[in-house]
Amino acid sequence: MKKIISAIICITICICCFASCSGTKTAVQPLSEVYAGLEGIENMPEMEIMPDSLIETLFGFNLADFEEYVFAEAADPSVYADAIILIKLADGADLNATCETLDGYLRSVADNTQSYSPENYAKTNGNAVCVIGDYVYLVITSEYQQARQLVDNALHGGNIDSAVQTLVNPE
Amino acid sequence: MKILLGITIVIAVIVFGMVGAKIGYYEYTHRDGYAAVTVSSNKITAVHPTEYQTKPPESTPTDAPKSLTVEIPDRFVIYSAEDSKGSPQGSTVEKPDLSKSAFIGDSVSLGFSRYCAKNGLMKDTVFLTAGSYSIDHALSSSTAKDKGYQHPMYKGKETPVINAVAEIKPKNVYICLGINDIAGSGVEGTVKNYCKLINAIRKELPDANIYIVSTTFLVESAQKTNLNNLNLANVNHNMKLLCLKYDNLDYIDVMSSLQDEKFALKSEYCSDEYIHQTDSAYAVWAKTLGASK
Repeated sequence: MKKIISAIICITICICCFASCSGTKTAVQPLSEVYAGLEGIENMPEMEIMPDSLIETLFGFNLADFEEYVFAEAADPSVYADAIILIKLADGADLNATCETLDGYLRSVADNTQSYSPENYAKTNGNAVCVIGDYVYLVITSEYQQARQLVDNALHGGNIDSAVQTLVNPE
Repeated sequence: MKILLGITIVIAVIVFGMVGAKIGYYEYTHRDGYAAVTVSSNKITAVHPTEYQTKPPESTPTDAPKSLTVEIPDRFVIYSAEDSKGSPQGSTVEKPDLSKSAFIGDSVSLGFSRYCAKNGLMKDTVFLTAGSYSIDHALSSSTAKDKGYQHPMYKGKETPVINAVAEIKPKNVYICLGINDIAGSGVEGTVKNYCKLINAIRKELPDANIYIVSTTFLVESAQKTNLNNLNLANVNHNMKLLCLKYDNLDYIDVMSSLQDEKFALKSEYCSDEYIHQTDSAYAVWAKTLGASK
């Protein structure tokens, strides 16, 4: 009888140990949901998703290198320079090349707006391409700091301490 | 006596008309079989033969060289505001083959490129457009940022358009520039640089068809000292005359369908009370270019 009770207690303790190891990890949001959240940011103009053909021509990306992606720009790109680019790289994709291309895009927007559109230029000044693990993102908008915070929260999955963030800063 | 008087009057009218036309500084070149030009007093209306005839002319000039170097005109035609009235609405060239084309332009053309992208139009056209892009930028192969040079994004890099078209090798090249040149170069400088750009593209693509798309106007209230609609109309007019003169160089007049009676961009087509255009304006662009579904 005593042996049976001891065995029950041991098993119960073991079960409790395994239960405590489950943690409280929050699932990372799909990029489509992150994009939906970004659309609601203050001063964000009406945005439109870029067709794949435009992404390939403009950026030279091979979309097969991306496990998930969202590319969007202002519905009136002649007037607003806003853009939302969210990428989850597939295995084996070149992170540095992707960052370099997006950085080039950011600089290009800055150059094109510097002389004739101060409001749009301000969206690029101090902005940067960001990397979190397999995710690369760039948000060009007037409230880009707020946008970055939103994306960080969505992609960290709640484990902020374990995230690695690299910023590619334009000069 | 009466007969003599009548003959004298007729001769005087003819001579007076010729002198009057000459004083108006208008010259035109009739490109045999390919252009129908009406001249009345000091107004020129030039339309493509599809407006006048239902079939191509029988005598096709076969010996006309295709790859002419465009000369820089030594005399500019001054186009007055009065001449804008009665301009042909949406006069177009024969519907071009839209396969494998390149479209070079500024922020207004950038909007058109996105309109085409979301509506599935001009799928075989590579748009080389950038905000504040100018003919001056397009002529440069430099990407020196400290000198202010910038180029459209192409396959992930800022690429001078001459380099881009050399790589793409399109059958047709559309160019819609000028707005960002007027203030710095004036009408004469802008047209001269336009000719240099055409020559540079022709050097890379001797057999390509080059289409000059009319430079956009501003809404009336947005005009500035040099960046004004009269100057822009003068650029368009001189480019139109040049296109009449040379083979494989055509002019596409989009602006006539978008301007109001005051020679300005209609407010219903403007998205920012300045110069940029709405989707309804771009629908007119697409129709004029023969790209509508």
